Formats: sequence, C-alpha cells, structure tokens
Amino acid sequence: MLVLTALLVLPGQVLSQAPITFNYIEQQIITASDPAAAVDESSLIAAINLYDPLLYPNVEQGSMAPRPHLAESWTLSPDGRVYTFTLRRGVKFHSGRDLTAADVVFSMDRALRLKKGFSWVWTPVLEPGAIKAVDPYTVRMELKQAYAPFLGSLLLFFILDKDLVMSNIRPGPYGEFGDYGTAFLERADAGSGPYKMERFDRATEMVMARFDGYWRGWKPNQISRVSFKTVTEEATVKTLLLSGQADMVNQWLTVQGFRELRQAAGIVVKEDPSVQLFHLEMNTKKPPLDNVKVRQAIAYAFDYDIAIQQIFEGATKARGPVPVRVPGWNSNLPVFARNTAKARQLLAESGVPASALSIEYAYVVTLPLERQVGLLLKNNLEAIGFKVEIRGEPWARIVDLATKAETTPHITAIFDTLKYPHVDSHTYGMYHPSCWGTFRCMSFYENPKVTQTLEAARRATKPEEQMRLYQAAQAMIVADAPSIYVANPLHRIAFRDYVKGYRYVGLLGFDVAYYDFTIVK
Amino acid sequence: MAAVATGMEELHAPRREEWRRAWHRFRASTLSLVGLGIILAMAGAAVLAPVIAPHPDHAGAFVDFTNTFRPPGRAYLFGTDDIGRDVLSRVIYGARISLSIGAVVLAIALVIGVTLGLIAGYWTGWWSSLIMRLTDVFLAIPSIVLALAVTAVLKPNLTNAMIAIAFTWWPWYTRLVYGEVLSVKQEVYVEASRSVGASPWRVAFREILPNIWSPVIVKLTLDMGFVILVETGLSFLGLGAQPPTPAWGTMIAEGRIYMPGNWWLATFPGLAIFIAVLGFNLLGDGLRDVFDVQIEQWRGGA
Amino acid sequence: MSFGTYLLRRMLHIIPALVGLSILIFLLSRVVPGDPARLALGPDATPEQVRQLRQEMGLDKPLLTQYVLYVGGLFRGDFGFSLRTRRNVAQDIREFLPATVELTTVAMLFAVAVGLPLGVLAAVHKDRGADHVSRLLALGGVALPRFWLAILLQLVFAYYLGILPTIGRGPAPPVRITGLFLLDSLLVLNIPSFLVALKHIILPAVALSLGSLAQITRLVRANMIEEMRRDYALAARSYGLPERLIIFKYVLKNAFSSALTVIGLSYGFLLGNAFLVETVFAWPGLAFYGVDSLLFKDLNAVVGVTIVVGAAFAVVNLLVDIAYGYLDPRIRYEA
Repeated sequence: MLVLTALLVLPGQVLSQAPITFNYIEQQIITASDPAAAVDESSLIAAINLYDPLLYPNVEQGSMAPRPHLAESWTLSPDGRVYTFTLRRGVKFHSGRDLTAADVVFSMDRALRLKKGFSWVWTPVLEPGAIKAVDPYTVRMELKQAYAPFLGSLLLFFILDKDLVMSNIRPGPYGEFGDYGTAFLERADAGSGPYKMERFDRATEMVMARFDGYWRGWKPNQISRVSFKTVTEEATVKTLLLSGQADMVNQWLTVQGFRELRQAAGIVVKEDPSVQLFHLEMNTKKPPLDNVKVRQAIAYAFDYDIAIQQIFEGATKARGPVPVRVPGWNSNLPVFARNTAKARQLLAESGVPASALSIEYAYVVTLPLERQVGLLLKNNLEAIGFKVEIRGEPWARIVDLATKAETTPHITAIFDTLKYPHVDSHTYGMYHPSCWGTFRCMSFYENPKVTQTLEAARRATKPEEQMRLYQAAQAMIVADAPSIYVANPLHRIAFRDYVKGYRYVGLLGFDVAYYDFTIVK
Repeated sequence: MAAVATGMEELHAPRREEWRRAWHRFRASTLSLVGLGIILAMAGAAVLAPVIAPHPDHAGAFVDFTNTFRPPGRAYLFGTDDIGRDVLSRVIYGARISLSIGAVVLAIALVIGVTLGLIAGYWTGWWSSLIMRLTDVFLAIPSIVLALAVTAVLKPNLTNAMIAIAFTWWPWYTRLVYGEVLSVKQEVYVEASRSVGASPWRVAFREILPNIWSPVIVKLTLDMGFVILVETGLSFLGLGAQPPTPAWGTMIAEGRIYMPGNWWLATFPGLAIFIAVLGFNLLGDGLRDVFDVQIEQWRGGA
Repeated sequence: MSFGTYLLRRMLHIIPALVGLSILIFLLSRVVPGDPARLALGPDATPEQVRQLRQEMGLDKPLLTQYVLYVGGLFRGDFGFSLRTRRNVAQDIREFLPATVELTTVAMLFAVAVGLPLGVLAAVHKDRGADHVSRLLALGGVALPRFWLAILLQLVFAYYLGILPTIGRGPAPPVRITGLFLLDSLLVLNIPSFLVALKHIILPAVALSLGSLAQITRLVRANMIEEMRRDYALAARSYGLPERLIIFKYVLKNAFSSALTVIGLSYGFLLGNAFLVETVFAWPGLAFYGVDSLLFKDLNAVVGVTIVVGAAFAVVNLLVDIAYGYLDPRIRYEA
C-alpha cells in the first residue's frame, strides 16, 4: 500500500512542477547548427546543449582541464600516440538509441572529412579510419605522432547519432556518405545532450526542449525549455532583461550597458577575468600590409593605453596572442606602446609610398566597442599618414569574408576566446596555415619557421619541451606583427537573480550550458 | 485665353506679372514663411558650419574617450557621444551632408527626368513609348525598396547611397514633365512659335520649359524633404554614411544602442531630420498653393 | 468602355512593368563580383566541387539563359538558394510574408480609421481650432522620420511605461490558418491570443501608419472643402437640409473615394517604411528579412524580396484602380 502511494505521489511531484522556460538572448545568429562546423560562440552554445562532447571541462572545480564525460576513463600509450577511451554505458541519443563506440568513430571520421569547425586540430594527426571501435564501449585512437593539445581539444569533439545521420543523408560530395547529413542538421539535431532541438529559425530563434532520457538525470528547478533568441540591438537586449522577458543576456553588451544593468534591482552582472583576446587582425596578404615594417609601424602607432583604460575599462593589456592566464604564455614578449616617432621611422624604412597607405578597417556592426577602437585607430594612423576607411558588417558576413584572403579586409577587429585549454589554441590555432579561412586566421599568416616550430611543439612528448617551443613560436609571431594585440578583456554577463549555478571557467560557450542552471524564484 | 500674339516680348510680360503676384500670395501665408525660414537657417548652418559649430573637428576623425556621454549642458549644448564628440557640432555638419545629398540627387534626377520627359512628351512615337514604359518599370516599386536593392550591390558609403537614390528618383520627373508637356503642347504660343519657324528644340526649351517650371519647382522642394528621409533611412540601416561621417541617420543608429540612459545621442539628430523635412514640406506646400498647382505627389511614395 | 475592358487593360498594364523590374533587379544581382557557389560550399571545397555547384546553380551559362531559368524557377516557386538561411528563398518568403502583410494592413486600417474622421473634422471646422491641430498633426506625420518615431515610441511605452512589449510579434496562436496572428486568433475565437498579438502589433503599426495617416487627413480635408463648396451641397443647404445630413450623405461619399486613392498612393510609402520600422521592432516580416539579407549581401534573397514587394505594390494599385473605376465611371475613360 505504502509503496503504491509512494509511486503515485513521487512522479506526481516531479510532474506537477510547472515547466521552466529560460529565455536567453545572444546578439549573433547561430551560424552553424552542425557541431562539426561550430566555431563561434552562438554555434558552440548550441552544440554544448544539444550534444555531448567526449570530455568536458572541469567546471565543478573551476578549471578548464578536461575531465571524464562520455568517456569514463582513458589510457595513453608510453609513446604518446595511442589513446584508448572507455565509454560510459547507458547514454541515450534523442532518437532513443544507445551511444556506442560506433557513433564515436563515425563522428570523428565525419569531422575529419568535412574539414570544418575545429577539425584542423585533429587533421594533422588523424585520418579517417585511424579511430577504431575495439568493442561497443571502447574506442582506440591512433595518432600519427604524440600530440600536445589532443586531450584538451576533445572538449570540442561532439558525438553524433550515426544511424540517425546516415538515414538522413542526401546526395553530396562525400561518396557513400553523400552530404554527410549537412542538410538534415540544418533543421534537426542528432545529439545526446540535455536538450533537443525543437525548432530552429536560423535568423531569429532556436527552441530547445528538455531530453528526459539524458544520462546525467534531472533534478528539481532545472530548465525544461530554452528559447535562444537572436536580438542584435543592445537597447532592446537591455530592456528585455530589465523587464524580465529575458532571463540571461550574452557578454557582448557595452561597458555602459553592463553598468546600467548592474544598478537595476533583480539583476546580477558577473565579472570574471577571461582567457579572451581582443586583437586587430592584419591581412598579411593584402598590400600594403604584406610589408612587415608597415605592420610594425601600425603596431607602434596605436594608443593601447587609451583603449585599455577608457574603452575597455578593466581589461588586462594583451602581450602577444596568448591570453595572459593560459599556461604556456610567454611573459617575456616585447610590449608594444604608442611611439609615433618609431612608427614614422618604420614607415619610412618600409619603402612603401604614402599614396599606397590606404586601408580598410572592418568591425562587427553590433559591437560599438569595436567601432570605438576603430575610430581610435583611424585617429592614430591618420596622424602618421594613413588613409583609413571604417566599415561595419554583420558578424555572419565577417565569417563569410574571412574565407578568402582577397575578400578579407585589411584590418578586422576580432574577439577570440580560448577554444580548448591549451596554449595551442591561440598559437597553432591562429598562425598555422591550416587554419586559413575562418575568422580566427584573418591574418593569413605564413612563416615557415613558425610553422615548423608549432608542428614540433605539437609533437613534443615532454611538457617542458612543448612549452619552450610554443613560447619560441610566440616570440617569432609577435616580431612579425600579424595583429595588433590590444587586450584580454574582462568577461561580463548579466542575468536575473533567480538564475543560480552560473560558472565561468573561460572556455567559450561552456558557461552557457543550460543544464547547469537552476531557477529559484 | 490670350489673343494670338504678334511678338515674343508680349508673351513674356504677363509671366513676369504672374511671378510678382505669386510672391505676394506667398508672403501672406505664415506657415510658408516659417518653412522658408527653416530652410534658410539650415542652409546657412550648413554653409557656415566651420564657423558656427563649437567644435568643428569633432565632425571628423576626432576621439576623446575621457569626455564621453556628457549630458546636454552649458559646455556641450547637445551633450557628447560615445567617442567624446560634441553632438551639436555633428548635427550642424549633418545638415551639410543631408542638404548636399538632397541637392545632388535631385539635380541628377532633374536633368535625366526632365530631359526624358521633354523628349517623351514632345516627340511622339516609339521613343516616347519606350521612355514611358521604362518609367513604369522604375515606378513599379517604392523608392526606398529599389534604393535598398541597389545598395546591396554596391559598397556601403554615402556616394553609393546617393547614386542609389538618384537611380530611383528620376522617373517622377519624367512623368511630371511628360504630363505637363502634353498639356502645354496645344497652347497657343507654342503654335505661334512653331508657325514662326522655330526649330523643335528651341520650342521645347524656350517656350515649353519655362511654362512648366512651377510644378517642377514645387515638386523639387517637397522632394528635398523626402530624399532626406530616404537617405537618413539608408544610413540608419548601415547602408549609407560610414563612421565617422556625421550623417543624421548614422548618428541615430549609433546612438540608439545607448538609449534610454544616454538619450541625447539619438534624439537630437532625429529632431534635426524632423525640422528639416518639415521646413521643406511647409515651403513646398506654400509654393503649391501659390502656383496653384496640382501634382500627383505620392504614387509609389518615398 | 465597359468595366470589364477597363479591368483587363489595367491588368495588362502591370505585366510589362513587373517584367522590366525583374530584369532590372536580376541584372543588378548578377553584376556583383564574388562566387556564390564558393561561398555556399565553404573554404575547403575542392575546385571540382565548386565547379559542380556552379553548374548546378547555372552560373556558367550566359546571362540571358540564367534570367530565363530564374523566371522559370519563379513560376515553379523556386526563388533560389539563400546563403544566409541555407534554404530556398521561397520558403523564407513564405515564412516572413504574413507578418508584413499583417503589419501593413493594420497600419493602413489605423491610418484610415483615424485619418478619415480627422480630415472630416478639419474640413468641417475649417480654420478653427480643430483644423489647425489636425493640420499640424498631418504635417508632423509626414516630416517625422518613421524609424525615429519607432524608437521614441519604444522608449516611452515599452521602456518607461512598460505597458507594451519592446520587440517582436509574440507567440504564434495555437492554430495557424493564414499566418496572420490577429486573424487566426479571431477565427477560432481565442481572445487571450488575440490580445497578446494586438499588444505586440500596436507600436509598430502606429509608427508605420503615421505618414499615411497624415496624407489621408490632408487629402480628405482638401477634398471635403472642395465638395462642400460645390453646387449640389449649396443647393441642399439652401433647401434647408440639416448640415449633418449634407455632410454624411453627399460629401462623405466623395471623400471616401478620395481616401481610396490615397490608400493606393501611400501604400508604397508604407511598404518602403516597413523596412525601417520592422528593423527597429525586430518584427519578423519580409522587410526585416530583406534588410538582414541586404547586410549579408545575400543576393537571391534581395532579388526575391524586391520582386515580391513590386508584385504586392502592383496588386494593391490595381485593386485601388478597380475600386476607383467602379465607383467613378468617369475614370475609365481616362485610362
């Protein structure tokens, strides 16, 4: 009798809790709903919530380091080449199927063949077929050589439902795999993550609904439905949060915007030091920026202090491409400061005539901070004889323009957050020719010595050797000035005070995992 | 109707008298004078911008991040924006931009439109039909939409916005002139001129053109306001002036982000647009009453 | 001529204009440098894949053939591939069109509902208080930049007063019949859903309607003043008929037909300004989609939107002409 009553009451309690909808506002559209193609924040947030990666950052301990997730444990061979992962049992996809090694193998082969997203981290060491399913719950990955950033990069390795994708392929360029499900994934998900894609209007909104069979289970007060809306105008974003129509808004508001929100009742503005780089990428393939002295001149002409103190308000000054908190950052890099005389001298030495000093600066039109920096840059550069044209573009178009050197503007303002917890992310990931074609590599930088050093660094088996090589690479890169390294800004985000459980460890997108939040009203 | 004239001079005299009477009628209407006043003040501000703007260099590549977001006050009448620039000075320079764009666009539209309209109206035949069909094509869609479509193909800047708007505006004048020419063609003095042996071109330009000026002038005046509205709209969407150009529409788009806390960035440029368009409308209405002109103003709309 | 002939002639008149428009826009879209196929496939596509897609998209054919294929596609409902939304532009248009239809219709209704009585009031009380106020309103309505008004309305009603939503259309009613939220709610008598949709549409519709409202007021006023001076009105007055009766019976009918003209004339105004108002309110309509496509340089989408707008405009003008020709037979002779 008691058991019966208990059985009747308990599910009732869970069911009687009203479904909790969460409204999240992002100021950019989701450019890729396929996790194998996700590179920017909005796309990564979608991937993190709809799919499970093989490993997960240790957010519970406030660290970026990888911890078990879909992979329960792993071993590494002594020569550092063979990883063997033991998969967790009982993980179900949204389709109802069990997740097995076959899905992992399929997902990696797919990522390698599609060559989008972060595949360039794996393509140097893996080929389709190098990953094998030893048994349904054991995966073996045989790398071509030891590879420093490998484990950390698996945070971005999302597992897709092989059967679901393969039963939805269309004709395409991948032989027996057709289009590899690209068209299907524009409108649906093939994941095992805590949320399912209920609806996706690329231009406006993605609605995610709770997946009851999620392997980590559900507790009271967790979110059952997410409305991920894209709203570009800041004034609207602020109003939505202030009025309660939105529960959380993204990090891309202006400093003034966050100040306004901080003063409002019922709103929390969280500030954390970030592992984010704000830099102005210079297209080294577009004259006059193909001349290293011109680039160095620009680096000496920019007023870093005004940018840090007055535009960013609370950022750390950048030194080189690697954010200051990341292990492996070279603390001995030269500091650039505004030196107009030196800039003029370098320009003179470059041999480029004044008539050729005409450049274009592009920024994301919805980020006024980038516009402010652009006007500062224009002011600084015109003082030494440049002509600078400023152009605002929507983010999606900048991602598009970045695919070719001819269409990439001379200078583009870019925020680049650490993608995976390794110094490789902001060295190899930005300055090795294999990354050309994304917004991270709009410099189209090519220095054979740096390329060699970075590849050697990846292969190094001993940690000290790795770090030495990565630091050497940083020194060479900075000497070539492919970017103006401005700041490691503070990370800010705003949400209503009834949202609990927000944790920021630095990696892009993992702080907006809706599964981690509880709503306590 | 006037009796058949024997000499050209006798034809010109009544016209001068008409102008004088028109001016008197114009002076009687307060609203029209207000409109004229506004326009003259704007034009004056635009021309004298370097002199009357408190901080003329703020309209260019000036930055001062220690001075951002000052509310309107004694030092800065309209406050400062997010780059530390004086909003008042930028609004004044914005007048320059709007007025010059309006003038250039309408000049182009006028030249093309009037020429084609004259040709189509005076010389009947397949030329005429072709021109009028072409006009129909361009008028098949609202001006803003066509201008937007053209800007999609060009790089976003003020010059291209100007080209796009001019591209969509000339058909109005063709149609207007065409209609006027048709109705004037039968007039006695044209017949007289032709019978005297004047060449068709001379007839067109010396006799027809001066008699159809009044509706054209009225339309030009009203159109200045509408062109300004279209140009500011394009700039607002990011397809016109780029930073740091102080175009009113761009200023509204940039300042909008900081509403409602720092309201002055977007409000004053909007007010300026309103007053400018109002001025041209009042003036145009006054002129229309004075010349007693009926024009089909809004088909297709601005 | 008979009404039927008039109708036919008006309809035939549109076709060359639309064809010309389609040619114009199509030419514009193909003039742009850059390779749509390459963009669609991404940076890692092999030259072979790019060439194949170019062939599929028909980009290697002469311009004339491309145009013919495009028009053929239009009739089949294929508006080309949108690089931004990654599906056929026709689907995008189908999704976003109802919102714009709803917004412009409500704006037009509002403009007529307020503009007509305002114009009558102004005419009846000519040169007195009410007249001046309405004339000022009308002038203001024409001169006020629509996007600025939209921003101000948002500021006052959504931010400061907090009584109306800031952006968007609100949730869709549970039953979708036409895609017009207000209509769909009414048809199934779902009042709460109707009210929510109404709350969302008020600000954008008012902001959008102001220009047309001003024009209607001015035209109705002018026409009524003229009508009231006419012989038949004077005659009726001299017979001792009450003023109110004269106004309603004789004068209003003519004023109504002139309002009809303005509807057609200012619809273009409305359509053009929709691009600005929808942007401010993030109203998910065709114009909002058009602007985003423009900024992204998604040319198939831009061409598609332009053609649809042109067609809509032509249809509205046609309807107005028909109604006008029906009401006033004299017009038919001038056609």
